[in-house]
Amino acid sequence: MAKLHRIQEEIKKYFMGKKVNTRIISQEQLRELSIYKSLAIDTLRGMMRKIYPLCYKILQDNWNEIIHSYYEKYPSTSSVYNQAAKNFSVFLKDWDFRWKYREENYPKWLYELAEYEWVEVDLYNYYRDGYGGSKKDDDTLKSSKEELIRLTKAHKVYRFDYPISKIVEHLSSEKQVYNLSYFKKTKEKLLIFRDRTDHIRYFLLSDGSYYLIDKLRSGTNINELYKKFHRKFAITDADKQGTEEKLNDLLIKFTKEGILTSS
Amino acid sequence: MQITNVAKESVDKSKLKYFGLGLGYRREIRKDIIEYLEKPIPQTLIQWLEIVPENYIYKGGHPLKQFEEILEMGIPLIPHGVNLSIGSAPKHKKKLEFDFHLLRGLKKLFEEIKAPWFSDHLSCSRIGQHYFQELIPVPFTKEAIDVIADNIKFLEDYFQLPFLFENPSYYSHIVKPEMRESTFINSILKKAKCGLLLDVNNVFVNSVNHRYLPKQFIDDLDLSKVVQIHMAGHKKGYKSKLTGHEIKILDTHGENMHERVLELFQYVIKNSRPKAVLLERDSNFDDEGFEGLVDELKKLRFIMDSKLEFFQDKEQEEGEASVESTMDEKKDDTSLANPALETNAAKAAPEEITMDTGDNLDLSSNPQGEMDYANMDFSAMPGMHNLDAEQAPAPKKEKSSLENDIDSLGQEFMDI
Repeated sequence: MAKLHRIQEEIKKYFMGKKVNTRIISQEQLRELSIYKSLAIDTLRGMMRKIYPLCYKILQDNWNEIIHSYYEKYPSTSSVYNQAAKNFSVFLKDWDFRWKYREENYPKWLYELAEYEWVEVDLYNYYRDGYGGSKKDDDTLKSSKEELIRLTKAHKVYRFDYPISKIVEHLSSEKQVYNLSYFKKTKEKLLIFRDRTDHIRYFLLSDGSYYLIDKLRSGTNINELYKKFHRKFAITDADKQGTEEKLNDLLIKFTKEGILTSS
Repeated sequence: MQITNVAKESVDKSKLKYFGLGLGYRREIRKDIIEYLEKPIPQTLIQWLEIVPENYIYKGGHPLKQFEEILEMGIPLIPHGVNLSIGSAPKHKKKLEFDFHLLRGLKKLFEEIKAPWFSDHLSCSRIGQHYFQELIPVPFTKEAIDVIADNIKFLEDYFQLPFLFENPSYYSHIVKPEMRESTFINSILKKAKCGLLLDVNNVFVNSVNHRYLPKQFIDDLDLSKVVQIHMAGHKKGYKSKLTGHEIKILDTHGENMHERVLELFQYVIKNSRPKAVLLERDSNFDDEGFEGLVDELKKLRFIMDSKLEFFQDKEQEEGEASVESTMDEKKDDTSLANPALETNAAKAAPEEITMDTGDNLDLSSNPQGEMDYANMDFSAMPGMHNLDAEQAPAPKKEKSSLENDIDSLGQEFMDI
């Protein structure tokens, strides 16, 4: 194996917090190399604080140490810089993290909060015109009932175990953060999407709207959608017209937001 | 990937187009740049834009859309990467290891923006699948020259474009150097037959951190290979939070250019014939606003204009219709503050940035949320902290007053 490759492998170990072969890189050289690791962690720390502002609110007392551990444990495998922050929720869910900070009593929903915060960035990475959404301020659903309609790529659907929308609302407020264990397990389904104005927003989904979204993700036409919906929720003939009107209103809303396209 | 042994012509600068003065494109200043370019004035300050290509090859993204408006204005885009990692040594000699997902994305982007060349740093930012998020220096060894030259040859073959590497700023030697930095750089230029992106600020930062004469270093380089120049700012001091190890100055791209770096720039362009000069700024955009960057660009323009006999020749010779210049007007007026630029500055009132927050939606009586990410920039790149070190070579010539000044500045930093 080439000498330079061996040296670089040891550098990699050092950056991952692993034991380094000091016959290849001396302690003194490691000391000098620490400048680079320190700079890398500094930069990551700043970026992670931007990406996870609400997690930061909770973790700030141990933030520096946490990001250091994260950097070592989840090195980036992507050339896209902000992807280095991608695995933070996995890191927070990890047993090692929970054990190390057991006395801090961090809330159990912390990793779900991180997932929620990351998805904003993930969606932001889809350029407006790159995912097929209409840029036109189209507020009507012009598709015929046979035409294929589907959601654009700029959305994610999440099923959380905790009421993340309420947690986010609470943490985002100016008020002091109170007892975080207040939030109990409550299943919550969210459609998180990028709207026409390039803002990331969400809809809280009921069972009905979740089903609707599920069908729209893979693409369907309106006639088919109504039929499936009636069957799934056993809608009686008497209620069908009212239900269809409500569904139509939802589809118009999605169209207005630029997340529904037709072919 | 096996190396193809293709005979390669050395980079021919005369065939490369002249681009003039440019600015680093960052999302934070996108609006300001576009507003500035829309002004009905001769564009002498932003004649081209440099992009960090890794930021524009996202999944689902269509890179050209983002730049359509800029390209329609006739402003060329030149890519400058951070993750090609030309200093990465493969496990097995002659079996190169690249991130082909990255290469494919870059190739598509380069074709779409019609890149005239591409560049990256003389460093290692990846080993295997592991990205460091930092530019790690490469030792000045014969083996490293071979590795880097092989990598560059492959990349030029893959992209079918000329490649330039940037001399890094570096803070330590990871292994004992076998040669001086200038020898190392010249050897790579010769072996890889590529061009050089000379970062003048990096030369200055290294000269202070490693106590050598920056002009001497410049003199030792093969300046005929300088295609592009980077200019940027730095700040004093940095201490490793891990070991307490300290350095004197840090390349940050977050501050205004130091006066000494500008003087060094003047010296460089007197002796080289760059095709493009760039102001790099990655952070601290709010300090002086976009006007602050315009002021910085004016400093560079002023120095470039003082070398009229070269720059003007190039613009006329290459018939750069798209690169408008007021050089003719300023031909006889290089001694005073540039009046044309002052006029531009007066017109360039800062734009008020408004944000459309949109309305909340109402769906099935459920609560909704809205998160404003419109102004956040997640494309932050690692600070351009590289390495280098070199024993100060004995000055060949008698010190000029500028060299003495730089020496004393070095002392000033060392005293901090």
